[in-house]
Amino acid sequence: MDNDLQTYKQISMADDGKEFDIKKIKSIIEGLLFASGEPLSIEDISDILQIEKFEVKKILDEMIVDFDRELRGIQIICFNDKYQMGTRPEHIEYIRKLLNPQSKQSLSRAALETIAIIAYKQPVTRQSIDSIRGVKSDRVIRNLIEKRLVTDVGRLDAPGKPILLGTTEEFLKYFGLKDLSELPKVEDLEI
Amino acid sequence: MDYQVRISNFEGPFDLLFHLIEKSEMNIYDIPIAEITNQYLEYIYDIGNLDLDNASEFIVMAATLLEIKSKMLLPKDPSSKDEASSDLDDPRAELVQKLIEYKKYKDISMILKPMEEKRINVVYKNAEIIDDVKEDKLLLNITLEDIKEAFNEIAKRRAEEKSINEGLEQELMQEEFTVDDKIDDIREFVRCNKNTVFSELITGSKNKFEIIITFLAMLELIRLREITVYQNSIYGDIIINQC
Repeated sequence: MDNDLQTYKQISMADDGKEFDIKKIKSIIEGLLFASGEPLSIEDISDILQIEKFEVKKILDEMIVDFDRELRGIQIICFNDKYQMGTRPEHIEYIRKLLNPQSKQSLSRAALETIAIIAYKQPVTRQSIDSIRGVKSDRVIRNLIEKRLVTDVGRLDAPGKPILLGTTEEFLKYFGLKDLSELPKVEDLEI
Repeated sequence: MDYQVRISNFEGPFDLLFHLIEKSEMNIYDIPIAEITNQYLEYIYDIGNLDLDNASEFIVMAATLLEIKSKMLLPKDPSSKDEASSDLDDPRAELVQKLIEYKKYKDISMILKPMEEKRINVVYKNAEIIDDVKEDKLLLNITLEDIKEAFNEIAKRRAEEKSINEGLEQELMQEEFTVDDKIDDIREFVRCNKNTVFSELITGSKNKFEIIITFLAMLELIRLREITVYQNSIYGDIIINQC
């Protein structure tokens, strides 16, 4: 009976403690994300806080929702299990007045077509891309590599050992994808 | 012809073909090949006069269309009366497949565009480099006067260095050699010594440039048939003889 009481006390305290902890943890993670500037991986945060990775992920995903719900000026973006703070795109005009950040040029039609092919068919050779587009894609591909959206991921075991291309982490971040599984499903497209 | 202006708007031959198919509301699975070939050819009629990177691909497609058209005109093989095989034998089949695949990725890129727009205006903060700034003992007892003096020293030294460098530059200009000069030199040398070796000709050379000029002079004299040359081994010395 005493044992049971002890256990009961422990559990109830643990619950309260846990709730307090989560707020504190979220607060700390917020500070970490700010200080880091660069994307932080779940592993990084887990190491620093000494908390299980699945817990960290759960908390971070909650925080993303929190920030959205509270209309915070900062959003937490997630890609490839990394998390980073960024501003809201709708505030860009104000931020421009402050900072004058370089207007990033959006991708050309050719670049979008090419990266669509690479994203869905990766790993894929330049020749395959040329064949689908009906034109030579050398320059476009080089441009995408420079922008770090695409990289080489190996070589095809075929004559000439052509380079295989694939998308990068930066690609996920660029298009707001958590991971490749979030690419729009092809079946939904109608010809 | 207003076609001229428009063809540069197309990413490539597939793009143009699709435009034609949609414009004339053709059934992609049963393309009227003669019709589309004619329209296509009209569009690229003047392509030679445009400075297009992809002109060759457009022309290849024109040839492909003409080939398909001519194949369609050929009588069907009477032995293959089977419905299924006649589908495969459709000369348009391969092109249609390619068009459909192209359209697939074109549509995907249209979906990606707004996704890009949503993220392109997000600003991130770069990593802060947080240094542990220790008190710098070096600058403890320095006054403004000291700094001023140090600067004057540097300025003075810089002015001196600059004038030295300018002097050097002038010296270098006077050393310029010409191939003609070297040709005369070699002629003179060979006239006195009947035969010589290349390494002797370059013993006085001050830099790689002079050696190269000497070599060029030698080649010129060979061309003028004033000398003949011989090498005993690969990369061996070049033996020069008067003709």
